Amino acid sequence: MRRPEVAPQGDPTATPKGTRLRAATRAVRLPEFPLGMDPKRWRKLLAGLTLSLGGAIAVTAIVNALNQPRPFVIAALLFLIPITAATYAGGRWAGLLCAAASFACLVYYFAMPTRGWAFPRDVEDFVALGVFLIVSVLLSNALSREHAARMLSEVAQRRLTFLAAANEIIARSALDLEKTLNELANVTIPSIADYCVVTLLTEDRLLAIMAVAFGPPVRPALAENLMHQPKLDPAGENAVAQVVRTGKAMLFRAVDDAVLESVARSPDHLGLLRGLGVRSMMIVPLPARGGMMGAMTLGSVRPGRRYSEEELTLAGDLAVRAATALENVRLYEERDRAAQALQRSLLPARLPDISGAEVAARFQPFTDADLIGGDFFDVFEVGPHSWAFVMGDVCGKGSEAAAQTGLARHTIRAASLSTTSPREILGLLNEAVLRQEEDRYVTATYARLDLMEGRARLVVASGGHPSPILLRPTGEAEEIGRSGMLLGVFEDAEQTETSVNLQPGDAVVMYTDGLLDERQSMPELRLLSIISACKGMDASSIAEHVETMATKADVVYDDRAVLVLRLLREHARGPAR
Amino acid sequence: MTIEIRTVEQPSTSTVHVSGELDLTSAPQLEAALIRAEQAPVGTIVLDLSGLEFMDSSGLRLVLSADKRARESGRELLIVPGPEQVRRVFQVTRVDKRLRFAPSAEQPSS
Repeated sequence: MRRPEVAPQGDPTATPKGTRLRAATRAVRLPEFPLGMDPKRWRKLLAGLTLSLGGAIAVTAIVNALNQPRPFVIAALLFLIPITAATYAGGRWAGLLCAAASFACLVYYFAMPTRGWAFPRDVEDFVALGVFLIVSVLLSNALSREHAARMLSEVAQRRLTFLAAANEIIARSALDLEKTLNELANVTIPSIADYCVVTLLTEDRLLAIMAVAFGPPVRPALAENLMHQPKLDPAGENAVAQVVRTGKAMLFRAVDDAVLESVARSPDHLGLLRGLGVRSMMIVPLPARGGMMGAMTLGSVRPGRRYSEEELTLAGDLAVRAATALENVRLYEERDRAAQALQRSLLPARLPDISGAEVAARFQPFTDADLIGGDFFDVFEVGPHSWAFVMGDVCGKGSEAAAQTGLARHTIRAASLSTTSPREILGLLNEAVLRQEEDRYVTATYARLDLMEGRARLVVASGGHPSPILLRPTGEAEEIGRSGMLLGVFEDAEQTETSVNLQPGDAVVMYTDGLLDERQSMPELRLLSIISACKGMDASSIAEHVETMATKADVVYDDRAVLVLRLLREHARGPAR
Repeated sequence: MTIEIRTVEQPSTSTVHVSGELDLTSAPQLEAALIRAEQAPVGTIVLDLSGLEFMDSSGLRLVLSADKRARESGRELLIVPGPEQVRRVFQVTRVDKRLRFAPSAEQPSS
């Protein structure tokens, strides 16, 4: 058996080039020798055999030297010592060998000389020798059984340690599919394999190689090429496809060319596998709910290495544990996608083109899919030369808040059909929210932009929402109007409307409170100074600058949304179309 | 957790003192404490927010819900508004006009 040239769990800098083991992250120690195969097993057996012969001879010499009147009895008792020692060291066969050697010595050196080299002569001799033989065999048998049990429990212990450690490593890469797959492949090396390939059923219902890991005996160039093998039809005859189809693991104790052919995905792959020099191989399924999600192929390239049934069971156990982690990753990703789709549905697919003005938006949702946010914004046309700009926030988070967000956005769109007054539109939204059974509150700013011949006007109403900020080309920044009441709380929520004339180059910034760093005092003043610094920028630069500057903290507590409207200078020269 | 809640029950008044950060993760705890306090046969519940360092819209929603429950059951909910940031949430949303603040506490400036 060949030991790995470099222990991959060692110093991270000593990790051989090409291995995918992230040694630096390995706080958990995995057993290094092939599991189920004790590297000291041969050494122990050899020690036992040496002890058995050496011990028998030594006892003979000692008893002869003692010159006792009854050497037979003393020798018989003393022989039990090397038998015990040999059994402990080398197991059953060493013990039995020692018993046989001791018996031979006893007969030749102690029984025969006392009888004048004529033996056996009477019943007494037979009984004495028989008793010795029975006692010694029984002794070595009992001891060897205990020895075997101890070995078994050691193996079981190693397996458990391995599975627990592997589980910990895999669990640490939680919620990242690629990382989880790589860790799964990595933990098998070198304890149970020299190379490991993880194959998964992909969305196109084909089996694709997702992760490859390998240890020092494998040439990195060869193993890397494994990653680039073609996808596999799960209905095919390939051994991996069969394992995924049937859910039954396969063990190829000794690998010959026929086995390689059954595993190869292409002639190129077959060449690769031959080049690897695979000696023994096993393929275990990765179970999923209602079927298999893929398979894991483990191979050893060490001469004389043969996978056992126990190792197959171990690999299967590992696969089951890993599959649970992978299933979680998949569910999480699915949920994340659903949350993102829901969030997208709350935002306009694209911003309209407004002649004479530019519009930009930045939206940074809260990072956790659980907490799909209540922020929304919208820009839409309400008349021949009028556009509505909406920015709002539903108090609270989660899918219920998202539903409320949808209600708010669509109510505003519908209300805009019946009235052009921002104040009245917020009043209608207030009523709609009040009629909800649940206690949900909405804050919103509604601004209507009117582009008329040579001039532009913005009419703003805010319900419990931070007022839009007007940025003049000079860098002067101020809030437009004053916020009215939170929507959905009062039957008679009074909303006010403010109208400002916009000049070419003026920009209006609308935002949600996620942008105000709530944990510091006077956040509005800070935001005003950030916006003031944006003078001369175009709309998208302003949006980007405000978003990045206003949220320097790494932790996002809330969604962040910025909507910027900027009047172009060209607008002043001619009437809007 | 980021929040600490202490309820003091007196014959006619229950006072819920809360300190720390009142946000999405801690709001359910305070909600539970308030609902427990509402079980007691008292006419007035005081929600003392003076120990808060931070309150977000989840906290606002909680306060408004408690206020609505109080009105519906003929009870009184008095708020001790606490630091500037917490008052600001009430002011920006203009709900300070509706909520009743504890007389002993300084009224939020508008």
